[in-house]
Amino acid sequence: MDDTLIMATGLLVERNEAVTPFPHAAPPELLEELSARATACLQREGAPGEWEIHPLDQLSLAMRAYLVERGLLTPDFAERSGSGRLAGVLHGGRASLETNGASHFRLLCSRPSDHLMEMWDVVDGLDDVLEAEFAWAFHDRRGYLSADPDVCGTGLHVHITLEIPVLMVTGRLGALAVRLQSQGFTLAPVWESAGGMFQIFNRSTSGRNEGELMTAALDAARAVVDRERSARKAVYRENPGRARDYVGRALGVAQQAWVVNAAEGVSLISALQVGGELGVTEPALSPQDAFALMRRIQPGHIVVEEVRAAHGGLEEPAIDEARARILRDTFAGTRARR
Amino acid sequence: MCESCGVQPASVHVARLEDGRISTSDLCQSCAQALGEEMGGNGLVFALPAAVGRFFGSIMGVEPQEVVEADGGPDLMCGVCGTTTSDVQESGLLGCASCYDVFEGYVPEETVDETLDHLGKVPARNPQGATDRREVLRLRRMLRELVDSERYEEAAGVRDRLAELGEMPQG
Repeated sequence: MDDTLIMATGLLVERNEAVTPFPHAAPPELLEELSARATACLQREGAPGEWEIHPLDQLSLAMRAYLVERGLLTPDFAERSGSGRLAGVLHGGRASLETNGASHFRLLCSRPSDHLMEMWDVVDGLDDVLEAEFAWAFHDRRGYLSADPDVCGTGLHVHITLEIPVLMVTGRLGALAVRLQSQGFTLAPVWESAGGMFQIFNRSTSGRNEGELMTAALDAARAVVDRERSARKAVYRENPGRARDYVGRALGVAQQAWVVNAAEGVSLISALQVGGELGVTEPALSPQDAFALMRRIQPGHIVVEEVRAAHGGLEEPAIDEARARILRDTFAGTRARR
Repeated sequence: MCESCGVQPASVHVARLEDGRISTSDLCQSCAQALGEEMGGNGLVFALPAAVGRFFGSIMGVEPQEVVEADGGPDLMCGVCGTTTSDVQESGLLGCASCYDVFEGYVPEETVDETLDHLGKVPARNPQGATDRREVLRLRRMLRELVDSERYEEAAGVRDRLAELGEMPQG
């Protein structure tokens, strides 16, 4: 079992075409043309893998939410319509492409646990494929150019998702965030920080090459999860009764509730992951399985995978009921140790 | 600013065919309308919103233009996308790759800080200069680290390599 509290990792690479104005300043017809060229390029014979490419405004809200939850679309992109906006997904969700959002092209990749180097190989290859069609906006000192001068450089954004509920409830995140800031990283909540879910990402994409950026992000993330591990043990050592009570209550709700909203569901899963790790409940739930379950109970996933209604709404009561059912089924065999 | 009346802001990019040559100008709405009526469509190639027009002008080989002067001081306009100094100041965003040259003075300091220079992947189509530049930056950084850790022999080797690349080591 991989026991790291690094739940997921993701990469995003931004590229802009050299001649066309950046999306916010370009006329619609030029953006449409870029999208058409990108589609032809990725679907050309010999291009790697099969792509499903759709105009963003043809995707239902549920499908957009589903892709955001899988780390295949950025929330900002999914929420706004605009000219030439396409969402492309490489077979099996191995990678994805956004066109004409903040940049002309954004390549995304997301995996459970730490697979940064493997993902870099995927997006690097796709970048090369697109570069055969497009000349990138590039400056020898500033690197890959973007509408926002602050994000010039490699154009690489590294995201690492962490489960750090004990650091959160013990009030240690503030100091941690300041330290990360000084290292060039930002700590931001995921799912409104339910279950202590946070993400670390690099603020600047320049001054380091891609390998250095990924290594630095991983080092920063590992330092945080080491602290979380220590904090978990300390909290349990100092007040085992309270820790057992917290985990036991979560288990009771997960096994018995009939209506659970997304934030509550993530918190329950997180509590039970901590409980399993501390030996309060069994069987233990690995961080990666916990994260997969957290994703599975998000609204987009429930609508697309459980309710099988890609055009359904994301706020319907049936979703909270389906979420509760998933939790009951998953934790039916879990028990609190005496 | 409108190239005809010099009073109103230019909002229309006009291209005309005169004696077999294309000439372009940026006009305000009323001057563009007057020109259109005067020419009756003869010789008028296109009239587009200024930002769009400049882009087409650039790919037709017409040099991008800088418009100088605005209320109370110099104002720049990117000849490719039509972004102005005011746009950059308001949004913090540049309109296209050429804007990085036009608005160099408005790009935040930290993005031209040498320690943040690009060290990563270089496009295959990029000229050799970028690769050399990246190597120089890499070596300079290495030199700083070696000197900081008092590894002077290795530092001398790096200094020699920088000299081979025609780079005068700093410090």
